[in-house]
Amino acid sequence: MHATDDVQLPRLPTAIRTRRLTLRRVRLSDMDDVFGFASEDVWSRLLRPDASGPFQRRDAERWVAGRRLADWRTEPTWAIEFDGRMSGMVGLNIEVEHSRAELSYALTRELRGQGLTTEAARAVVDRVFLDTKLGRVWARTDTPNLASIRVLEKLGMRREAVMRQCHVRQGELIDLAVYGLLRPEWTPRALDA
Amino acid sequence: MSQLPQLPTRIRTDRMLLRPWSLTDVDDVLSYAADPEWSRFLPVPKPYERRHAEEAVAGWVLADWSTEADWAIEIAGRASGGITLRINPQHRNAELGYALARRHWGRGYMTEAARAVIDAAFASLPDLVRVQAGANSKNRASIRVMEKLGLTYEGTLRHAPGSAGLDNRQKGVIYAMLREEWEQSRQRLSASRRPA
Repeated sequence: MHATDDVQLPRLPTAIRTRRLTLRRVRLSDMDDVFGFASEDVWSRLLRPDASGPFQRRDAERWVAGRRLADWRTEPTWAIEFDGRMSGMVGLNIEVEHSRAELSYALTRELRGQGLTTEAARAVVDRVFLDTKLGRVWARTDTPNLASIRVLEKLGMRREAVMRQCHVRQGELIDLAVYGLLRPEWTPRALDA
Repeated sequence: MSQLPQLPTRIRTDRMLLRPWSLTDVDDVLSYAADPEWSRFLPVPKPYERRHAEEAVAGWVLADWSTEADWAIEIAGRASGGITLRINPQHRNAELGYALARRHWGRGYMTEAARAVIDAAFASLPDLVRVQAGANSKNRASIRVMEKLGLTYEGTLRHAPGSAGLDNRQKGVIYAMLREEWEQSRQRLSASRRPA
């Protein structure tokens, strides 16, 4: 039996406020900010997972356009706004038939080290468990990316698997860690923000 | 991968022939795929009807072998299962998927066929570094195949609570073999066959 048709698609808010951040829909006018991040590894990977060669203005434009057109019910992407500027993103890829959402995130380098990514990601995870019936939020990250792993650990996620030599980054083989958080393990800590 | 993968389309093992699917295999597929015990852990429609078999075979016939190799497992002249290898050239890995008609379960056929595919993949795709496979954590027969193949356990992805029934088809347990592990197993094999 395929239940996909019967299951109601989730509706997550397009605007979320946290203590220091505003999360909102990506706008076409974010393009300049997004292009500004492109020299940063994590961003170029996120914005252009399958491409190689130098990052072009066109790539930023395509990413912003794609986020604007994506179905909000299954692929919401929030821009992280800090100090009036688009400074990062949090995204979900929702598979209702499997009752799960994959979390992705990025923050511009100059703002790292202040817990802002965790603050933004936690707000989104809270909304998933509060506003939808989904039972699982999960994420993948390169094991050398300690800052990203720290975010997932602070979110209370559990490491479920390490897939060895699973991805090629700049010619190097790296291990990929899979993290997951099930609904019963979630505690809504960001609600007092 | 820098060069185009060239997997063999026909692989002969001791007891089986792995070969490309043909549209004439539809009746054979239907004969085993309509069995609910066969499909318990597989992402296929239930009940499995003739049109599902036709669509499946058509898809395998059309597959682009540089990214998806689909072999029919032929036993005694009949298509009795299938093996798929999905290749990700960018990340130099491949995912193995397999299914065998229930009438042939319990005799090591699946392990024999999958081992032949893994050997062919590492031997013919020089850039390939990793072959992975997954199974539902309750699918003991599939996990047994991965262990007999010598794949290494890498973890278990947990399913969302309350998605029962559907999560039977989700992959939870992850196993993989790296090229260095494949080479070590070949060395052990050849050492054990050397006369004393």
